Amino acid sequence: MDVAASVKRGTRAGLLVLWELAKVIVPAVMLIHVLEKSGWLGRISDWLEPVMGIFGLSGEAALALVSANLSTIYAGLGVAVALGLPARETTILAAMMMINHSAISETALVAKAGARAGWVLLTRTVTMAVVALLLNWLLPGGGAA
Amino acid sequence: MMWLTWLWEGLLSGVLEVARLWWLVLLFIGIQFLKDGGWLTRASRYMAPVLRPLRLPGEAGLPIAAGLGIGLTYGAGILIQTAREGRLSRDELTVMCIFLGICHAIFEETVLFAAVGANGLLLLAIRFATAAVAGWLAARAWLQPAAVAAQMQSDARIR
Repeated sequence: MDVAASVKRGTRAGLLVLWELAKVIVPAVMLIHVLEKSGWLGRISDWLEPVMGIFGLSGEAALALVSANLSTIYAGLGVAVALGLPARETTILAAMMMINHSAISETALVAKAGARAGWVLLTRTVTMAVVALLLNWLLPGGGAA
Repeated sequence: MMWLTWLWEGLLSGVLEVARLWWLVLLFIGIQFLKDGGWLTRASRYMAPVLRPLRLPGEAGLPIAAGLGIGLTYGAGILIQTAREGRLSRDELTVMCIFLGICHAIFEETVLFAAVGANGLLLLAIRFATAAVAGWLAARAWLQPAAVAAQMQSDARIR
């Protein structure tokens, strides 16, 4: 095994991921910062509070969830970073994003591989909701919502 | 003018957030070593405890190992190749993708989320457990137990 070549390829892969992250984190942080300063973040959060509250999340967490599913897990991560949620919410949100993300591209991939893509997507979505409910119920520090 | 200030502040803190993740490069060098060192083929031989409850044949070992280790997008090459070679049926692929869809890229995604302040190990445990439950249920819905499947195959051959 060629160690130098592996280090080189690994570095390139790592830098590529950093670049991918930068492309979503920087705009996401900018957008959230502007939303926050202009007071819109609070308003959006208030609208979505009733739905996200079921999972023990504040309303603005929905922004991360939507980004993760429409785009990639990196986009969701970028928004989560920008929001700077407390650890409990970050864990619940992360579990949801990890189980269901890139809904469009990964479902297309699964379909291409020849599996029943609709069932795969449905299972992931149901699992996401169940896990979030369980986490909100089990993790200490909840109850206020 | 206020907007421009906000955008500029956002840009600065955004760049800082990214810079704080520099050590990810080290992680990816590690993953590259796993890939180049033939660890994937080696790991695929030890996938039996995952395959058996999912009622999947040994041929699913390599795509499962690739999906768990590298992820769906990067492991897609192996996944699609396995499918194209026709060694797994549509039902087997569905069960495999339900399992892998929920639980994949366990190194990269766990570390990424731990980096932003979530409980990484807890997440990994939840993810694996839910993937196992969903996969187990899917296997019961679509696949026959190995013994029955072998029996059916031999029956088909006689006919």
